[in-house]
Amino acid sequence: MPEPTDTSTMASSLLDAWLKSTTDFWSGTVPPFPAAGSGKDQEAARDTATASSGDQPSQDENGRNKNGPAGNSRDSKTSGMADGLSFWNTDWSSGAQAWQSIFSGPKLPDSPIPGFPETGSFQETLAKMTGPVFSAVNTMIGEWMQQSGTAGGGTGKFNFDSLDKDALAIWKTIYDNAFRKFLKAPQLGLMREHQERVARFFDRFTLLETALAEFLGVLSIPFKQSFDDFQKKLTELAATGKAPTEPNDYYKIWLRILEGHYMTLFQSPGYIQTLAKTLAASAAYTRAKKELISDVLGQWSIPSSNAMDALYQELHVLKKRMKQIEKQLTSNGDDR
Amino acid sequence: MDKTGFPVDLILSKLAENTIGAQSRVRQASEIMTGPLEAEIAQTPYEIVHQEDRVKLKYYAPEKQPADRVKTPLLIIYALINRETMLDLQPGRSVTKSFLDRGMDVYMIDWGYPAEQDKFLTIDDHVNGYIDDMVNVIRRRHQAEQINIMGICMGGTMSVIYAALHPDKVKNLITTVTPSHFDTDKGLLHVWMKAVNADDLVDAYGNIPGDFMNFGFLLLNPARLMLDKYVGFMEHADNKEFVENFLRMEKWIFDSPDVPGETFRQFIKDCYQGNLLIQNKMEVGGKRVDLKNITMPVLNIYGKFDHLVPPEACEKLTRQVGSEDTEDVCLETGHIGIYVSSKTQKEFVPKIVKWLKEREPDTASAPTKNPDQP
Repeated sequence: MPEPTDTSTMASSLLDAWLKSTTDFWSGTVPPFPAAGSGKDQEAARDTATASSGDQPSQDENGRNKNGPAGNSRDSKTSGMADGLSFWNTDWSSGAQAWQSIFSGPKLPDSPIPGFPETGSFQETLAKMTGPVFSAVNTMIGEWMQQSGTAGGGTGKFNFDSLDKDALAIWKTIYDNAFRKFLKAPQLGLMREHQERVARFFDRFTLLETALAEFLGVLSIPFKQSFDDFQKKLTELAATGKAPTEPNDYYKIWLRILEGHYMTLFQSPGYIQTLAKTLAASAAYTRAKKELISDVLGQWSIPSSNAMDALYQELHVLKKRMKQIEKQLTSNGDDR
Repeated sequence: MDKTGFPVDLILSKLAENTIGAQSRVRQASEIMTGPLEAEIAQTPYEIVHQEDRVKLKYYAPEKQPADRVKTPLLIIYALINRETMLDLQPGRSVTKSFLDRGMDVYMIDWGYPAEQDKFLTIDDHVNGYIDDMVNVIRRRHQAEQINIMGICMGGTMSVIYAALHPDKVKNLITTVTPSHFDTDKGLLHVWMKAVNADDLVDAYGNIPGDFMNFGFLLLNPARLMLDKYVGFMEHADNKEFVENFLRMEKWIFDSPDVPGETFRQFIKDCYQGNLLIQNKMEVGGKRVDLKNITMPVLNIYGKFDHLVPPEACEKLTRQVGSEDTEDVCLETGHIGIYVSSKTQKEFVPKIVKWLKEREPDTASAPTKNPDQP
């Protein structure tokens, strides 16, 4: 077993690395705004900036910068803006350095209180503040991953000898036990309503796919049975010497058997239940899809189907009332 | 016959023959399928005489007017599922044309394609709204107190409701493959619909998509409708006339408008699940539909092999209505065959026309051009 890493130490070193790379990165953005004018300060600023980035601004054969409008540094028309940029350069450079020194500043004095942990440097403090949050998130993700890893744990009770029948049941169990709860997990914060709609859409879509697969599976049963019965029928015909000589007759025998099996299936309670479930899943998916689409349309101020429905209903009622009034006006309903 | 009991040699030699035949068939089929095909449907000329929203009233004028013709105009009310073009599918097998050839004035409601804004339309809106308005237009055009109504399938159910609520406007009622008694387990649709949560579907979808309904109809007999039908097509794909007729039927079958949600909801709950109509308990537009109000003559035609609306769902109607002049006719065919099979073409329209003639008064007149002027 590897030694557990101290969260605060790890976070502290990560924070150091992040601060350094961030400061270097932002310092690196200074060169595209080279020093303007002829003053010493500007020259110094440009030196500082280029030194920190290790780059030279790109210039053309006339010595003009190619990287942007500020490249025309000698142009009198743009000198005002260039002055502003040089000031920004200087300011940025010193600012970046200041941040670096703050973050790598001396440690604060040790805690005078026995047993109370020493405060340490700023990054240690920050690491301690953020550490528990990172840790909690880490733990939660770990748990989720672990549960996802055991997603197939429910398959043991199924018999893989009849995989075609069991495959769907296995998938349903896996989805219900392992995945669905994540889609049903409560969403938090400003976007929770939208997130819930998206989650509901994916959930209903998966349930519809599952229901359709089950429905199609049921529809395929007569095919399998018809082949078995066809085999038996042929054996019977062969035994009695009545086997047809026309190839097409064999097709007709099989078709009649198939038709018979479908008629039996379609009146069975199992089929009717599966049909009802599939229709319900289809309706649930359609509702979830409409909700999601309405949500998206709402962002662009496009009327949703709910809004249009309300309008259609109003029109419907108005037309009906108008017709009634019309009929009343035409000689007590005798409108001939 | 070999030791397995199968005439293997014979089967193999026939298969070889078939293979040679199939090669030539495929070549010819390819030429037919890529060549010009006449597969248009609904070719009989008509005129739109009234329109309300998306719903149109088509008028088919007879070319000849024999002296003994049925002068009272006939309104055909089709179902909200699929389209009325089925009655005019192909030359030589057109119910519409057969009526016209006998000198009848034929009107037909074209329900169009319901859109999102139609989802709140109820059975009341269809029966007391559109149908009643169309009936009034026809009455005005012909200066007639009453007209003849022929309903088809769900359109027949709506015709029954209309006739019960407006008996004074209906001279004769003809119901064809019309479900009125829904509490039966003879048809799969009747079995399945009891398990359907109509509220759930309508709340989710609004209108019920036509493709959704069509898939349900295909499932009623997948072996025949999704497999054997296309095997049959491949076997006859080298016959141009067969291909054209097959394509016409395909065009009609998969031309499926959506069903307005609220109408679907009420039809499933009140009819398929509650079986309220035949018990005189159904309410439409705040009024109870009492079948005893149907005092006009009723001709009830249905198919013996109808898997969608079995005879058990149709035959009770004539016993429940108030009329004493009723007749049931069970034809040896299925739900669609009743209108399109060449065999029933010889029975279906002639029977209706004969029945109507026997009840024809000499009061109706030819249509006037402006229906708004009495």
